[in-house]
Amino acid sequence: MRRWLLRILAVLPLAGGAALAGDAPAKTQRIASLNLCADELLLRLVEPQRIASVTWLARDPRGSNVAALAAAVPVNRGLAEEIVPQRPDLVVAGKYTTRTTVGLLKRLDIPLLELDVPQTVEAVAEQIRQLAHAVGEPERGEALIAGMTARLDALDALDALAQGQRPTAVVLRPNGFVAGSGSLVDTILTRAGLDNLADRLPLGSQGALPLEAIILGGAERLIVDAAPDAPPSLAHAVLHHPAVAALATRVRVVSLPSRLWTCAGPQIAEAAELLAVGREAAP
Amino acid sequence: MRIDATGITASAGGRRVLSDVTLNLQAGAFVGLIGPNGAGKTTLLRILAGLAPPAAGTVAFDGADAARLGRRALARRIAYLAQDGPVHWPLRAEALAMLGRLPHRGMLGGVTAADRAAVERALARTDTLHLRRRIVGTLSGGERMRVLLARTLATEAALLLADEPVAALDPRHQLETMALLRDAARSGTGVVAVLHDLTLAARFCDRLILLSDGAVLADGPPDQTLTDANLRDAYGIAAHRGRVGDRPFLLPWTALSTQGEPAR
Amino acid sequence: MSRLPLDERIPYAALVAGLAVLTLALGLASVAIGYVPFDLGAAFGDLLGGRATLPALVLAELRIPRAALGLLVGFSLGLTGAAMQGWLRNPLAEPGLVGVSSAAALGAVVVFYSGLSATVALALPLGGMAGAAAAALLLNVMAARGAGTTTLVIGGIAINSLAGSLTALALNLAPNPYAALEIVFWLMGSLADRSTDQLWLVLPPMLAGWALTLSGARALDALTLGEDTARSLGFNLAALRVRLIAGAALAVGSAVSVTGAVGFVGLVGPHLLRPLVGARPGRLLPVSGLAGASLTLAADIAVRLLPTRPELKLGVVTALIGAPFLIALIWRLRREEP
Repeated sequence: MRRWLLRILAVLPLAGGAALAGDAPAKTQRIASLNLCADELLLRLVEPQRIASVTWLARDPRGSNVAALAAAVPVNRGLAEEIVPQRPDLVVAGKYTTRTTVGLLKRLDIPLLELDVPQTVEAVAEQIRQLAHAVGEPERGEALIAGMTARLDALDALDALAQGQRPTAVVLRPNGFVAGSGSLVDTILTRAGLDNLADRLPLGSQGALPLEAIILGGAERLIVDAAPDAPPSLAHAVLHHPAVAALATRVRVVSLPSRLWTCAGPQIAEAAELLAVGREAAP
Repeated sequence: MRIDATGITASAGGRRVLSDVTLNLQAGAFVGLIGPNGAGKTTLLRILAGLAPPAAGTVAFDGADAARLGRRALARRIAYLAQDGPVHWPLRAEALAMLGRLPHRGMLGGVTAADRAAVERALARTDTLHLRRRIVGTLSGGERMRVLLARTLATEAALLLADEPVAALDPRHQLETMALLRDAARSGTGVVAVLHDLTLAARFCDRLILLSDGAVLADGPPDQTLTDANLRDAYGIAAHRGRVGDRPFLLPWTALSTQGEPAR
Repeated sequence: MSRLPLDERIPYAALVAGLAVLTLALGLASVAIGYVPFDLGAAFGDLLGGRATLPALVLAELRIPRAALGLLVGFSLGLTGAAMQGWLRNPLAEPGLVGVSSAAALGAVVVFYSGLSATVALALPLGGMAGAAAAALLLNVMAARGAGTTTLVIGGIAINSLAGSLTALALNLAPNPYAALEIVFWLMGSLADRSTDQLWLVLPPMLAGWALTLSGARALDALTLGEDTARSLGFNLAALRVRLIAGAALAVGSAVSVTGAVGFVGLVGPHLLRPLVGARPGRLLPVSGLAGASLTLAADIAVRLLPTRPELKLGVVTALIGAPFLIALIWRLRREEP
């Protein structure tokens, strides 16, 4: 019972993040990541020599913003048997992915940092800060945050110029998923000067919606998760439905590369910039 | 319509079932195909019906071979009644008899007045008019066999080949069915029936073909085929003979040992 | 004679007409009943008048293809079910139960996730057809001399589990992370967000498959009396086999390639209608097709009316309807085949 309690206590500060980061005396030298979003932040914050491995997804330029950096780093497929022999002194994982592996790593007392899925720009910044501290690179973390914030603030200035003219928009992601209020995508849309219609769609804004609900919502902009070279799947087939193509003749369809908004990271500023361009009526 | 079979040889499962069988059949006669179990009666009947090709020998239907004549043309000339013929769906008797008209119907054409008339005649001849709305599965064995026979008659083919049409019937229905087949022959249809009951065969058939070990042992009128010697050689039995009025009859009586002595 | 039995009371032409009207009514209902209500009359007016409004777009690109595919797929499954039952002389022979549908799904999955169908659209139905044909041929070998229930059910289990596990394997090997989750679509089927492209893609092979299958009606009637008798009635059974296998492959293969495997449709229709056509296998074909179309359309309306989001897979509803029929059928066959 005491051992069990101790283990919880050992993990808690890791999950909390800040406590550990503040005390970190020396830089961690062998960091592994189990999650694409963690891969991206890690590769941006830490030189490759200190990274034990990132996920195989990080090398795929279709979904990853850091494919070039990941090429220099070993990759894993999220299995404990790959991670443990690498003897990492820190493993970064997503809070909702590779749960089995995370559970095993906890039992082996391997230091672990679990990243939540942030829903606001502030939370994105806080997460970058948290990870930067954990890996001993607070300056690089602050630089990333500053760059992101500056680009988003520039958009706000643009929005002020538009004098409240906010076209309605709805996003269409694989399987017909939309993004409702409170999500990071909703935040990005708003920062880009668009009015997210998702909450006013006939069938609500959460989860997968039938195409007719999305189309009949009557949004002025359709934001489509652009993955033209994604391997075939029914999930992506929805994005290429003839009804979507027909819709493109009457409302502006903005293609947003999925790598820009799949993960919470500095790339959301780029996503917002693209959306701000799409906010203007079709040329 | 005539069938000329010459030098028919057939094997099944590596065993020779028929060897060098030559015979001819024509309309207007009731022919009994008899012989002990395994003599090759069903095999021969299927070959004569054009359902199986012989391993060697030829079968000519009105001088033409089955392939040249075509299956549909053959089906209009030869009706075939299978042994223990299954009926897989709960059809009504009338619908079942109507199946006999399939060889006469085109790809899309519906049932014609001629089809209906032929079915009426067939049901009348088999005394099954009153069963027409009954589902086949609910009929007794005798009724079922008569309905199946009505299906065969409905084709109004020149030749009717029937495999053991009376095997499952009670004596009354056996007599009725044999009389029916004889009448069909009298009215011009050629009938060939595989029979096990020698008494019935002798009484109703115009001609008997006795098969033994895959060869024709005798072929001719009953009194010339069912001789004591032939019965002994083919079946290993001895029979009692008698007369009813001017008609002779025969009754299988004793199973003989291989030496020709009574076995028991 | 007290009351006439059903097949004597209802003329065949009336039965066909009644089912056709029911199917068309359900097809119209399927167009009318969607997720979001809108003024259908106005939308039709816009569509015919060439005005590109959103309701007209939804009608033309989503509602109509969905209803039309529901009708076509249902007809294909119902018709093929009745034909296979006549051919194998067993009321359990249904494309889903005997594995033809799941093999078609496997063929379509291989073609779709390998990216082949993205290059050549026709490859998708061809993949489904290849799978369906393979299963039908396998079935033909297993049931060479008429299929007993045991042979058919065990054969179906074998083909279904083989095709199902190969489908799972293909989806796990697919490079898209979404693929593994999409097995539910392929094994249960759905008409959600189907398109006109898919409709035009599968319409010609389906019509060809129907024609081939229907052309076997007379031979299936004759087969009621067994193979020897059917041949003595002038039918070439080898040619019938080719026609039925090709018909099943064309109709079911292309249906499954765009909607996944919807089960039980080919079981319920023939089972309900057999007494109404006097059990004549040939007459059962067109009415089973219509019944299959009605059932599929009704089930597809149900998945949209039920409050589950995302919608239930079509096969879930048809299985809920069909499974009790299957149990009843097996119960009866068990008594008939000791």
